[in-house]
Amino acid sequence: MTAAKRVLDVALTFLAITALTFVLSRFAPGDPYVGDAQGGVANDATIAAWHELRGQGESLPTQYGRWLLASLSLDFGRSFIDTRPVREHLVEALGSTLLIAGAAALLTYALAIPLGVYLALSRKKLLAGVVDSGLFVLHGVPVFWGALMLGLTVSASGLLPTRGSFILPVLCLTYPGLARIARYQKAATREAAASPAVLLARAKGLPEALITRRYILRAALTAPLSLLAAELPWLLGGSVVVERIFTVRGMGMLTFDAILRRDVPVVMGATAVVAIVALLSSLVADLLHARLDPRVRA
Amino acid sequence: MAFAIAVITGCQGEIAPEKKDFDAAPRPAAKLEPKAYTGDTLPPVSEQGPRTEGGTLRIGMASEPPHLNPQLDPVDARGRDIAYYVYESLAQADPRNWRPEPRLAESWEVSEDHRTFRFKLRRGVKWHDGKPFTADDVVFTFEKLRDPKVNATGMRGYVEPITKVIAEDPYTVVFETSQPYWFALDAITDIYIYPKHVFAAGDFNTHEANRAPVGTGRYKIVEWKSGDHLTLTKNKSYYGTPAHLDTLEFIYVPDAAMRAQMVKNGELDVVERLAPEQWQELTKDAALADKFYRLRHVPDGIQWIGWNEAKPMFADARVRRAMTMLIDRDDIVRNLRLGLDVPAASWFYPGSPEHDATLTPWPYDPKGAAKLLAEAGWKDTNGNGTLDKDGVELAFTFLYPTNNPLYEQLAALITNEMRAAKIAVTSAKLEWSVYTERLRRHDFDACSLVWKLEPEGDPYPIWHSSSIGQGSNWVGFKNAKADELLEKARREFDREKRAAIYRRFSALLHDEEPITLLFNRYNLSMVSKKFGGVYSTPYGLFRYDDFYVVGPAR
Repeated sequence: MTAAKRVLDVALTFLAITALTFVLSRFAPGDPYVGDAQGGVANDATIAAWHELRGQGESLPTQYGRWLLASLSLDFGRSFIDTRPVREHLVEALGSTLLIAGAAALLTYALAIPLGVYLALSRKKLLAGVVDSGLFVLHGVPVFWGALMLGLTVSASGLLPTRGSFILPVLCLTYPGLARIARYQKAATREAAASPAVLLARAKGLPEALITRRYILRAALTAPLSLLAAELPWLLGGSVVVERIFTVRGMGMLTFDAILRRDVPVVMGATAVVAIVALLSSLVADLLHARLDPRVRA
Repeated sequence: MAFAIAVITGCQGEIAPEKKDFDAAPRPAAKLEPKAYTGDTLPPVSEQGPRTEGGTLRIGMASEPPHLNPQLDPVDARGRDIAYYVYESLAQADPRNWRPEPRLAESWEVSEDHRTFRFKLRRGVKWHDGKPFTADDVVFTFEKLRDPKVNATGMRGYVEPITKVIAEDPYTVVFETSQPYWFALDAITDIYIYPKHVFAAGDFNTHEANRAPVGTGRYKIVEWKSGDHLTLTKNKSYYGTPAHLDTLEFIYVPDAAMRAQMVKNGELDVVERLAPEQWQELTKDAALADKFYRLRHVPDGIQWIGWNEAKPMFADARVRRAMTMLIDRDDIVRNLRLGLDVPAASWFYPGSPEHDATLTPWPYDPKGAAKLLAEAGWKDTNGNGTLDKDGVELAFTFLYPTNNPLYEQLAALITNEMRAAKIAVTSAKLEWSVYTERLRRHDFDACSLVWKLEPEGDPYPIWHSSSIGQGSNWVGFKNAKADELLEKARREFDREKRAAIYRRFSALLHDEEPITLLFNRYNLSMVSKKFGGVYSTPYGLFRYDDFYVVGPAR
């Protein structure tokens, strides 16, 4: 696949995602006007005036076209609700989310990869089994419950203030991925360890450490990287639950609140950002994969 | 006073004014709050120990205001509450009798025909940036509110009757209104006044002062970190008695369980509007009881179920009353509200002169209900287990919003009860913005909401027949006698006489039963015992600018 084709692919997907979101948010039932307390005095005239003030009088294609053009220069318009530029909202939310998601992604991979390799290659079957089961249980703990329990216990213990600390939200975003990726890494490592190449290397009498490094790890480490492409948009989209419990104003809460209030410009801005991140990370993951795995290069 | 605004309280909520300078005044009299401060009574201010100047109050807030320009959409309860400390209006309601008492205006005269209002403004008032306050600021504020380019669709309705605002001299402003209306003085005096020199340059809708307001009030804004906290600091050069606390910190904690935890940890001094379960849970904690007042103060809302009269089955008052008699309100209060709320019979604020204490709720009486339904012609003629009339089954959908688990429980109770009475009820929940839109379009059979309880409000926007299209008369109540009473009350300037009219109106509502009043909802709060000067307006709002730290300085 040529580079130009990949870029065109990304651009078309972006257009499709944003156009669909735009249409959906316009045809969703409910009105941003009545989503707020003015509902009590709303009548057709005040509602029409409200929409007029926000440039809602034009046809849908015109509105979408205008949005698309402006968004190319990173101007996503103003929030229906508080009239601040959407860009300000996005910068604030992305700041918190990048910090938390970035830390969570690093922590997840830093722990999951060695753990997965250890579980696959360890000879201490009992310990590995215990750790493995522990991961399995962790994987099953729903975040909404885990986050609340973690928040309440840590706060009650007085170790950390109830809010304002980034440690707890990072932990909550780390553990589901940790369990998932460690188990994935374990499977990939086992598969690599059982490959004919490793068998051959052993038969030739190569030292075990060299076999592990050159044949097992080289092959096994590419596997979780492709998961990163799926993990990143999920992390950057923000977690409504974690953000709400720990009072983080991130992408999750921003998007969630905007959808509930039918704040179309914010919904569109957030969608555009997450879509771009998702598309670019899948692009980057593909490229990385190709570098590490010669079979993909062709 | 305060506007009959959006009397809905669902996700957002309540709006209110207030009262200042607690020193000279006795505590708000029992007149407006017969059942207020029950549970634990507030200790009288005089017994709260010596007052220390300075200190910080940390208030937990469940939602963050969109901005601090209370004129702009959306009309946000928390935003208006915070703006109260920064901005001032011409007058503020005294929580004892709910009459306007002077603020930016020193005095006012009302003409014989109740159409002209002349305000003498206070001299020597300075904006937080040091510039003087004059009549120009008042005229500017009302011009902005009336300007169709300003995003004030929510508030504009309240100033529409005003035809003219003139500054006669720098300290005199005259208002003229199109017709006499008892609420006009309240509407004028309740508008926060803005500094012309700040807003003159730039777009009012998106002005930076909407997040960093410059007012004349007892507090100034120093910091607003979005999604985190908002800090106000004492205005040392306030023209009246300055506030006692140096700092008010509004801390945003969206999750209810985390808010409760922060109270336990001593990270918050005030939490308001707790759910009954949570309030009981927190007040069980003995260690916490030593440190916090638990307050069940004023009734601040009324929960109801509405029957859409545009649907033929609910056009008959007998059917509506039968619905009420099928709902066990004592049971609802006991089990869903843990006995902390009170079944309601009158639409008006309990304890106010408009409230008719002789009205008693219709009893829970399924047999009586069956009789009423039979009288109205509903019988199970085809033997299918559901009542019918003229070939139409008595079947409807109970619509409710998703924002409060209470509705889910209500829906379960009601559907069970009604099915036993051979009425085919289904229930459906909708997201808030979709739900309110359906109500506004009268597109429902039965619905449920909370109306904000006001110490003194005008029922016209909710109950007059003209409000079916233009106001909040979503259930489509149309009654010539009611219209006549509501119109007459609008032109009655004597509160007692007006109250008598409203009592007749509320008796009429009781007979017609367009909605089933479920219960008066009480505001449940906790406030740290470190603070004195604690009292609440009949709207259930604390006035933090009268709080002070008890005891010697720490």
